[in-house]
Amino acid sequence: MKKRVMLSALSLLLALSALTACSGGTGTASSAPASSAASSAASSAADSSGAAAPADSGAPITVEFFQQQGEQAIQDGYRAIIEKFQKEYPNITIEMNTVPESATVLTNRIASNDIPAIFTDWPTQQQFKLKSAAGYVEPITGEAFLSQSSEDAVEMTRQPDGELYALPYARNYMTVYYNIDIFEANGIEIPTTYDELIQVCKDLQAKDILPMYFAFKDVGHVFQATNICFVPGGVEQMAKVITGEATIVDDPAFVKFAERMLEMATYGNEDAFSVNNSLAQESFANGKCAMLLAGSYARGNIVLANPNLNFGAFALPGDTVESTTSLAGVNAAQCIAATATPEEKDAGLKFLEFLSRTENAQEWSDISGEPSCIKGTTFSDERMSPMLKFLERGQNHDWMASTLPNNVVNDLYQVTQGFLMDQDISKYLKDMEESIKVNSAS
Amino acid sequence: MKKRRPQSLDNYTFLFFTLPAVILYTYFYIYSLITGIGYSFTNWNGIDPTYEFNGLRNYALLMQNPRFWNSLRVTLVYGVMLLFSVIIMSLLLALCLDSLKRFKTFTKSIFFFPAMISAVAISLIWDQLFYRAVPVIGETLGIAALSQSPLANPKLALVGVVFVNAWQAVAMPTLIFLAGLQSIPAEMHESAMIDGASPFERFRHITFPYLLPTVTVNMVLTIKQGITTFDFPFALSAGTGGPARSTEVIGIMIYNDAFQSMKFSMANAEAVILFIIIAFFSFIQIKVSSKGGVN
Repeated sequence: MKKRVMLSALSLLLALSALTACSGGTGTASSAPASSAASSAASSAADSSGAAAPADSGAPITVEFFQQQGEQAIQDGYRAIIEKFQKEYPNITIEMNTVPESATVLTNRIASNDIPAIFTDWPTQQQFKLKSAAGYVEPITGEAFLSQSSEDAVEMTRQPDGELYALPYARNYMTVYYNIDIFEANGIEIPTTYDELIQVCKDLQAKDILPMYFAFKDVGHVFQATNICFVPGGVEQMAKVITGEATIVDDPAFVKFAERMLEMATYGNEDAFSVNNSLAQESFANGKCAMLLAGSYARGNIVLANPNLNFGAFALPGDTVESTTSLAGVNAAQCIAATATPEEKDAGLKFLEFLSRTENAQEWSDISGEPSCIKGTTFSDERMSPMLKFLERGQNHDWMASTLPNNVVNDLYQVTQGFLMDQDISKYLKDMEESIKVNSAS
Repeated sequence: MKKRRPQSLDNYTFLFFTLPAVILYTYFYIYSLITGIGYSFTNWNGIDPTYEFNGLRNYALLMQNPRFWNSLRVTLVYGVMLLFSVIIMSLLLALCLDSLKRFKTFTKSIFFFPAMISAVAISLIWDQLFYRAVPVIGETLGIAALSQSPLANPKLALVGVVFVNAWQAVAMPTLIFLAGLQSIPAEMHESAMIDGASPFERFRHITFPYLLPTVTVNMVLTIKQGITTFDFPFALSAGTGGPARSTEVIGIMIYNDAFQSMKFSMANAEAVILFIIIAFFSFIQIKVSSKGGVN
């Protein structure tokens, strides 16, 4: 009998402990205000560094920097700057946190009020507009360090409410990487018009050299780059399809764009649908083709795959140089969470100011291989200058997600993949229009 | 008049020991399910602190979305293909393993090995095999369909994904079938053999009825695995459900709508429909499979 009583008491204790644990977890996760969650994060961080006093009083503070770009070179660039920062601000510890599927992780953390004090994000995208409008990001309009970034980049990041919420730090773009040795050995010049590009492809093919390598498994960015280049105002026209003000079915500009995609694909690898971006970059790096249409992010991977490859980059050409529009935007920019504590915000502003200094941005650019938005910096890889000089002309268009909802853009990737397989232009444009309408309905 | 029996201390002991599991299950599953259903009637985008109740709007939009119907079709085809391939392969494997006289444990562990590798790792390995080895095999054998990775062909991509999933998924059902086979009394087979029953007749009239309860368990587990699949198609299609939506199972659609497209409430509506489908299939399957067999 005594044993049974003991057993019952033990099981009751177990049940109660589970209840206590659950209720404690519930309170923290769902009912605590955002500021208190951030505050607790700050205090626990401060505890871990040995004190709980704020940074402005000279006491140590640890601040999380949720950095969304996983490329090794970019992480190394930030690590170098953080190391320098901590020499100047010994009481502020910046803890960089880079995780796989970072966008999903950040969304979840925002939904659960666990927002990192400093984070990187893409401020021209619609999803960022939602975050800033919902009050999750601290406005930094008027901060002096913003003048360090180029004016056009800053303006691209301005939100519908007129405020600025991020420090534009690097550019990104879609470009045609080319193997300089192959071009020189065959006496080929950089093409400046679409017709010249096709002629280059024909010349290379005549010499048994594969002109281009495509990764149609990840067709998205190729679709964006070609559409923006070949259909001036095409993204805005697609946006008007949402409101019923325009159509793209049988539109001559869109038909020409589709024809050109198909034509370019004929000069590419036969297994394009089996190839993802990484494989395409690896193939280009190993000299299997002369050109690769890819993003600025590919440069680091190509160098990693073959450090000895002699390659450069130029803008995907349109009808003429004057009418060519290049896909270029602002890469991940630095932001401060509105839910951060005053001490964390202060530390975050100091970190952003430090990042924006020309010498630090130059060092970051040199290590990461990313072209900086900060004034006074120069891009160390001269071979990329044809592309960068083209960007300076200002004939650029931002990524589609700055104008169209993310789900519309994502679904257009699938529609485009289907088109490249069945090659029916009329059906493609109808499918595009239907996809835009269905996915934008809310 | 019946006198109500007082609850014994034993009953309370059982109750208290069960409570932690019930509480945790309720919090993490039942509560999540209820809140998920609630969100499906709103316009929440996943991050906004406020949202509005919009009734059945998400469900109405889903009914008009051809992508949703396509993903439902792909999911059902995937589930059926996985069910047949896993049940048939694991049953055959279990019968073979059961008939082994030597190295039974070693052979079992070899077939169980894939179950210990994560789905993403397996997918990445098979993605490379499909890309690098299949075209060589296709070229050597002169099979045009295998001239490139099956994952690049919309007609073969789903088969390729199911193949990889089944490669891993047969392990557990094989063990369950083996356990079922070992529970059949040896005398049954011996007496049937004396009576002159052929191997097929012995399987038909002795082995299969005894295995029927394990077939039910395996079928329920496999169909649930097939309908809720996400990791294999996601990893093998680079997260897109391609080529041309041929592998876009509903799990991928839910994930992309929630986290890529910021349509969290829509994703919840899709998840609710998936839940109803799974519940329906499980109910029917258990009802049908529970008839007959030896318990």
